[in-house]
Amino acid sequence: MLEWQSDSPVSLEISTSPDFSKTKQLYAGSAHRYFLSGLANGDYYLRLKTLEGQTSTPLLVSVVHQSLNRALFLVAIGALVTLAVVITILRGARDE
Amino acid sequence: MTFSAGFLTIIIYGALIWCALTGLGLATLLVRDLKNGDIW
Amino acid sequence: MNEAAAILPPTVGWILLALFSALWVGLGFYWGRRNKSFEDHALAGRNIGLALGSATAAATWITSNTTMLAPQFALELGVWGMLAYTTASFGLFLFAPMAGRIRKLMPTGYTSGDFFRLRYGRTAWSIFMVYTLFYSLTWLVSMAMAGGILLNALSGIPYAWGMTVILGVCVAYTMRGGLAAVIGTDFIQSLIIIVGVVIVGFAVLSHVSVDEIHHNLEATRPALLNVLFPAAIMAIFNNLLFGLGEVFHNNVWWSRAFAFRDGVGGKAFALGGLIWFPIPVAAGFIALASGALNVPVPAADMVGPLVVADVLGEFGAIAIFIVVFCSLASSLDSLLAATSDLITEDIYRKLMRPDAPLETLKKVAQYVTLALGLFTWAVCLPRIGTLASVLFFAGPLVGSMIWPIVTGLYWRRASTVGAVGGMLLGAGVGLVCYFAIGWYVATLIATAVSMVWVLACAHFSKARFDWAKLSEAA
Repeated sequence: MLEWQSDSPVSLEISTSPDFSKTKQLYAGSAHRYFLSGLANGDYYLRLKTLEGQTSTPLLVSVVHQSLNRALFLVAIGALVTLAVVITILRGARDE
Repeated sequence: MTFSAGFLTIIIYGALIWCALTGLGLATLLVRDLKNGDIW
Repeated sequence: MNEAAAILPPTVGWILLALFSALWVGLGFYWGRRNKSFEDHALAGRNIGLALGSATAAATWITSNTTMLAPQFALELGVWGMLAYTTASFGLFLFAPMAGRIRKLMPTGYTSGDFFRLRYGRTAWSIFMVYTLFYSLTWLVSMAMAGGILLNALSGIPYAWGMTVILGVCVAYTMRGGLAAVIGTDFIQSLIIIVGVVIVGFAVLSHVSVDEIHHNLEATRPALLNVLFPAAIMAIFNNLLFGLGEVFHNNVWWSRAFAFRDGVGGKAFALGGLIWFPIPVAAGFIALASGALNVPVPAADMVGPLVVADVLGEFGAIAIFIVVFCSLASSLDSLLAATSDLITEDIYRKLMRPDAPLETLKKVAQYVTLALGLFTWAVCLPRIGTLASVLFFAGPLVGSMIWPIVTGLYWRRASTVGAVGGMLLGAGVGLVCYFAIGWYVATLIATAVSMVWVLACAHFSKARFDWAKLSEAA
């Protein structure tokens, strides 16, 4: 979540290099906050730009996602437990 | 590997149409129950 | 758009609030006239038909969490976030066969507390009561708070007033009308929610195509489209098991299993699951459109209403207001009714006054509902934000009850040692993992640990439970 103060509309830009050689615009308008999500692993630089072209000091954001192996391991345990619940319910009463 | 635009289209339209159908289904069920007099 | 300003003018908010409040309270009083005894009040005469049964199962499960959290999940965890959320419907699907068995084994039962007491004895019952009351009260508080906050954000109605009105209305009609009023209003609420979600969904799609949404996501939020997004896939089964634990143990669902007419229970819960299943995607995809529509999202939990209001203006804001109000009311009322029945039956009747006549019990249940409402109101009034997050502690608690309940319903060899140990060990280890690792493993680990213990105990158990003990004479 990013927050900034500005009296005029701004655009929010993101780039993977500190010199903003390749930038993408995330948002343009007069809001003061932006919820950032869904970036891939890596370092990102963010800056604000006013209509006149003034830019703010870049902000560095590092994105590190959880390890995929651990996630898949948890999925495996979860699938096992869930499957066991399903089988137990579907088999129903067995020793009546 | 990413979810494709086609997949996104299918799940979004699928979900909306499914919702619309269940809404109609519920209303039909209520009318049926009303006719048979076994709402509650 | 200025994020400090509400989406709707307060006058419109108040008018909508007043209209729907009058409708729910009026219906509650009207339906409440039929109720003579505690059995009518708590279980609507045990004769609910399929239409109302299916609708109430779906509506109760559509909380403000579904219509608000689904967009938030989509924004944070992407496509998997929405898909993972739909798995919560498995709770209803799997409870369907259990509901039929519950009604057959316990034709005169009232609550899930009755089951624990008769099946596993007092110790297991006490643990169950602590767990379920913790879960129910935190859920009640978090929903009433969400109500106040959402009404405030949508229409500028002050938090304290919005929270008080929504809670007061639910208490009033639940107290007067009992489960009949809860289930009757649930039907209307579920239709309103479904129609609202469909209209809003298609309206958003008329402004932005799925291809544009996809293109924008690829460019600015690629992880949301990632099939192997770690944070999203590790949460899938944790959420699924949280949902199972909630449905399997809570008296909200058990009281419905008792209240549905013979033979209706299984079908109604399965249909309820089918109705609920598409809602997270239908409500959640709206969040993914925020980038393509250039809607600034100041906080993830407000993304749904903001996008809709931006695209559809006042009409959209009114639609969202009504959908949110209905989804809050349909869950708040159920929780109030079910928790008050649980306290009346399990604590007042079974511990204090076993010979109380059914008419007296109805009065007690009404006062308990009122007391629960007042308690919730007092806790919600200071608006302590961190309070709502306490609900996540409930994950390990409810997860640890899944196996004791399932095996207790189906296996004669399931033992008290297994149930008590499973609940204590599962919840303990789960809570430790919650703090040591993170919320996304807590329910999963709790359920797994409890499963291992319960299965081991059942394997070595010499006990063979007599099912007839469950159908105590009322």
